[in-house]
Amino acid sequence: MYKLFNNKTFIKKALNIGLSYEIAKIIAHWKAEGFMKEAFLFNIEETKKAYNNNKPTVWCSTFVPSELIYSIGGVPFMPEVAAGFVSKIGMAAETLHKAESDWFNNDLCSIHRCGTGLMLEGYMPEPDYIIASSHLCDGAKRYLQHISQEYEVPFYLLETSYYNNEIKYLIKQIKELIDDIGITPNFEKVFKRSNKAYNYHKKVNELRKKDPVVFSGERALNLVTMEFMSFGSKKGIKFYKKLANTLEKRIRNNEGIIDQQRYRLLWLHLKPYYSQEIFTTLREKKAVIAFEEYYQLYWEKLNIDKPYYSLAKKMINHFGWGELKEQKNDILELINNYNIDGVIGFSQWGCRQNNGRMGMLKKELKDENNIPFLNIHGDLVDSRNYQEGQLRTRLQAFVELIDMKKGGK
Amino acid sequence: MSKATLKINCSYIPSEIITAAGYQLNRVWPNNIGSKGRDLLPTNYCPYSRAFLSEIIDEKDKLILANSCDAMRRVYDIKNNISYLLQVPRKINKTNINFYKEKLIEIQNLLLKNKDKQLKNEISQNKLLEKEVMEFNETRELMKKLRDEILINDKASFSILVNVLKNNYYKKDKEKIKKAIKKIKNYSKIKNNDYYPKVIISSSCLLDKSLIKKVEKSGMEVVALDSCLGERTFDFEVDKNYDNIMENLASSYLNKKLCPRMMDLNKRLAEIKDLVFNRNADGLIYFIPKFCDQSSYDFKFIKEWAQKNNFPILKLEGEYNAGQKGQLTTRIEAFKESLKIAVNNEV
Repeated sequence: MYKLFNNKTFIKKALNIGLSYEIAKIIAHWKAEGFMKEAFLFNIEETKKAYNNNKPTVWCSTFVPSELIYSIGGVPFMPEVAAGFVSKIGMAAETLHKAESDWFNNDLCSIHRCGTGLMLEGYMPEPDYIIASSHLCDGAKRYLQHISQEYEVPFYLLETSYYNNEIKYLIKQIKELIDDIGITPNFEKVFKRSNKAYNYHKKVNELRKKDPVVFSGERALNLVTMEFMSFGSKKGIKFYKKLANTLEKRIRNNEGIIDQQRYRLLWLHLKPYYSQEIFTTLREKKAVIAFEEYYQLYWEKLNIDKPYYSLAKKMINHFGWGELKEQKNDILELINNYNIDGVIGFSQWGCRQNNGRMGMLKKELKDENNIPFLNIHGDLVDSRNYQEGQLRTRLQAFVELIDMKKGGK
Repeated sequence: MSKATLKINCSYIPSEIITAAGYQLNRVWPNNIGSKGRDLLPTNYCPYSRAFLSEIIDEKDKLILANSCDAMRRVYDIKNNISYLLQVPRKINKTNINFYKEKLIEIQNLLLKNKDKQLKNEISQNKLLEKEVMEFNETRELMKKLRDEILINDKASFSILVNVLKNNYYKKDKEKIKKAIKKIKNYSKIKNNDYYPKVIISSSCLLDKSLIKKVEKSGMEVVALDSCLGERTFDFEVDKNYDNIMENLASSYLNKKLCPRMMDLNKRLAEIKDLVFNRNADGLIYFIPKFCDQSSYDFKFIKEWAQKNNFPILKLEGEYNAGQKGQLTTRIEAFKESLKIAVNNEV
């Protein structure tokens, strides 16, 4: 099986043949169940649609609301998500190398280098057009613009307003984008789906407040693609519904994800997608990730009477956008709501927004609020700089510090 | 009474609005990353932002920060209590010009908030703005003359332009600029018969003049400085239509020579091509300040054009005082040799 994944021709052919998706679906039905099955099926279906080209494939950055793409009848394809996937299956080094040999600096975000490598290797589905948002990440928009040049397809940039009082500017751009594409959007159907999924997601977030922790942060972050891409799809509703059902059942049965759990942690930013020992190390010390910043429902339910406003608001409301104190207050609220003992922030190499802010958040939370905070510098997809021993020691020391703070009970 | 100083970080912020509101303008050009505030941003971070932060960390007066990039937003995070974050659009179209105009009006109102009635009066403020537009246009013209004088006098260094830009441009110190022009005119006109390859230096922000000095010392002639610490700050004119002065400012500033942060690739490439052909350049040296995404992607784009057209291009990366680094010297020397060979082959 591993050899097949390493065979470029096989992968490229498989991605473009309908039969491979049918086989993948059979495996998903056979091997997975509940919310995991829904997540697999969603990803298989969306990938298939992106490659078979019956609908416009819209490449976009992860902060463009998926509801916008579904409303215009498109298939969202987020190369940043694809980069995480190839890292998971051990193909990232090859694609990173490919991008670097094509003059991509290795201090640029590895997610974007990896996505570029995938494109250069010919693995990606051809886009019909590309939409990027300007907020949170300078790299994503530039990298997507570069890709639009390679494929010679239209590139749209949504310049995201920084303050709420600038929302009209973003609304106008979303309207202009839709006018330019020339498709009448079906907001009603898509928004209804998004809001249904939202309700179940809200329930999930409520259930995750319970102790012991019944849904691991590691798994939640492995499924982050559902956060980025599933809102507005049918499968999104099913996924969050089944996830809520599973968590309810686990709570009823008092089925924590580890025995004798002692510490609840909050995770900021994403996690490395290659094989690593971070979460195992934490589990050994009886610590689990109880919640993640990326699992917040930071937006309001979408209003069908104000579709452009709702989409713009969802973008502006992102937890990493806007003033530092807002992000800090959100985190403090999460710490309170999820009974958090300590915070782990992951500083992604090359990510100027997250890497730059993590030190400030640490200062605010640790120095001013006396909350144990560990800032891990690492890479989400490039395992070449992963130093297991060193990280293991830091994680162990961090949990011991929390233990001391709690009185070593 | 001396005027209050207002510090800024970007050439897209219209100087005229600030000076018309009665402030002394100070574009911050640090010489290095200072000792203050070093722990607030990571070490693998934009050197200009780190140096800028160090320079303004104790600042009590107002700042206007352009929302240039992620790194500058982090500076704003630290100094947001005294800063105004100006949203500078990345694309130039009607919607963005209108938006930018609104933002400029917002800044004007903010700056005039505690000023006396006379200054706040709309008519007098417009008159003051007109005056400032004229003043800055004249200053920009003089800067262009200075550049042209440097170009025709092979004894004059482009680092003079950097000095004048840093010290005199934002102060509208026209006499000092004229003096610099006169000084260059008096340089010896005896032509050197040796051939010096002509190069453009491009960057998002060229940090300092050390690279210019190094390139010139190595035996190349710098013929253009495509950087905000260079020609992009002054190589434009604000339209003299005073009926809608704010729209005029918004449009003129957004349409000036593009910074790599902007996203109109065709305009950016056209401007680079113009520089290459108008200045008769033999090659281009692209300086990427370490950890600058804008420059990295811009370089990639220009590199592709250069490769297709067989135009020599050299990528250099560095922090402050990059020109003093030995490693760069070797690469610059090698580039010069390759340009000489290319020119000789053509001859």
